[in-house]
Amino acid sequence: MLIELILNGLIIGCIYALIAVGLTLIFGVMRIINMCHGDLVMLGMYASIILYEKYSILPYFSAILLQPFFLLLGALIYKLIDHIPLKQREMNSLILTLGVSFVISTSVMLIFSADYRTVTLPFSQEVLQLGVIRIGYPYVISSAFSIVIIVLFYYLIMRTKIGRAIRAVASDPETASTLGIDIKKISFLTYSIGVSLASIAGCIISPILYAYPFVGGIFIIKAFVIVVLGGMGSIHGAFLGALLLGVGESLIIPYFEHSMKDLFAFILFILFLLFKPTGIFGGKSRV
Amino acid sequence: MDIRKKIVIVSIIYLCVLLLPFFINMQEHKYLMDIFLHLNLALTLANSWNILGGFAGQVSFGHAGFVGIGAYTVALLVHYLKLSCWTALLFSGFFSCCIALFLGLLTLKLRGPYFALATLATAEIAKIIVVGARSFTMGTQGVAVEKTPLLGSENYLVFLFLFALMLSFISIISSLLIRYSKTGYFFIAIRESENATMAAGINVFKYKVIALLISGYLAGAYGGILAIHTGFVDPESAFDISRTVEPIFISYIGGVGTVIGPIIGSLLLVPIGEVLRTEFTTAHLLFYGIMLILFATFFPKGLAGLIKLGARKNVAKNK
Repeated sequence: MLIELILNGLIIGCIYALIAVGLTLIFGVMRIINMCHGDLVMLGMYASIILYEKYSILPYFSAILLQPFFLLLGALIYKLIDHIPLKQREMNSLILTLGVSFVISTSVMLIFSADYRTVTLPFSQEVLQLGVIRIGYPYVISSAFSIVIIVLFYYLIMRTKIGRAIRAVASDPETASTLGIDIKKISFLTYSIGVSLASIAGCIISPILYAYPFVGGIFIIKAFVIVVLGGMGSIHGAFLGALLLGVGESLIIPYFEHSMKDLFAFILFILFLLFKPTGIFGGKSRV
Repeated sequence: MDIRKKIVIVSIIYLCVLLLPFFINMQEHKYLMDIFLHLNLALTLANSWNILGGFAGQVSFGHAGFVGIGAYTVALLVHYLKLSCWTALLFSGFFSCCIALFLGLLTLKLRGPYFALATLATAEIAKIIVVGARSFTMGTQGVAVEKTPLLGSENYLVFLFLFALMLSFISIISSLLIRYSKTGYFFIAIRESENATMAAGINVFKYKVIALLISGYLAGAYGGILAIHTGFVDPESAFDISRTVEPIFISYIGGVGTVIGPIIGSLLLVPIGEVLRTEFTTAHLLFYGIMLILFATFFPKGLAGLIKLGARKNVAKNK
């Protein structure tokens, strides 16, 4: 029973990681908090639901198919952020992305109403049995998919030239720019990667969780919790934080009633902000 | 114009509005009065947010929490202690202020976006606690707020109108007083550079707490009036995220960090919002969102900044 809970937590954690790592990367490179990150996840959920209902395309394929659309949307939001003068960017981008978040969620509500929706795949009820452990197939496929994406992402950041440039800008923008790195280009790339990861997470989570127009609020808060847990701007920290939150949540669910389940994340969040704002991996304090 | 003249002008305008109920039949023009009530409430909340986020530069994403706490204070005092709802209203701001003090001592050491995130989380925690403490707060079922006659009269709309008017008056006056006092200059100094303010020997933490207390009081009292107005309080409506977002919209579009900003913003946005709300249920939120994007990106000083710019250009032309 315990192993099953931990495994379930790890699976959810993998998907949380996709959302949080984009948020932390954007924060690290651009020094802004992308308040509309959760709504991009929500948009991914809705898009994959619509594609499945209309053309019966599996959410795992639509995660790839929808990328051009999301990259375009991301580029549009990036253009708006880029328009704010650098000096006011920290606070005004917070307000701007909050506005974007509101526009996305209310438009979805106006088009699709506030009903809860989900994708029912042909194998939604089937269960993978490994000895005593039982896991639903959608969970297995989604976690496998997210692990593949995470590995690709990790390769991109750690092994390629672009990734090295992104890490350079995150650790010291001034030095990076004197070394000939185009900060604007890297910022744009980072934002696109973040948006793309969020939309993929949305698509592959739609067979597992219910979608409704304001579900983005929950994702953004959880992603913040993870990012603060792992240390703002730290990629490794975000992975670890996501797994920790996923396991922690799934372990306390049986002992508390449903409405209290999110309390765990928030209290952890406040405690970390107060006592260890630099996160698990420490590092340079930015608070 | 010095501050005394401004206070006199505001007082005169409010006295004129105060006479309104004597000329207009409230029952006939219920819709109009409703918009007016909402205008005053929105103005109060926007001022509350602006004092903390505009003057002191501590952007809050947790005003829904203060509003919810204020609303539940009234509801629970009426329900358990059988207080008159008007007496309970006096406590709502006070209790919200106490929570703000607690919150401030915990989180105001944090800066910028971190503080914003901490307020977002604490508002959610307050909501979850209210939902979870079912035996005390009735959980998601909500609590009914019984209206009690005041001074032997049952004309609730008039009383609500007067209370809302009083509250918005207090909020404008406190915003004015703060803006032109030493405290206000400290607030602005903190907004511009916390390190420099600290280096000048000013107790930054103390002034941030003061800003949060004023803001929390106004937001809590807003919640109290809201609870009496709707006659019912439940977690979803009391901690509605739009109470966090609306004051930000209004302040930003009017002009964040100015006294006149929230006034312009609410005078302009609330009537448009109310009309849109009655025409198409949720379209007003979409409208607010688009306006916020436009203003945050292209006119970060808001309408107040644009007007000032226009006036300056006019003066230059006349010279």
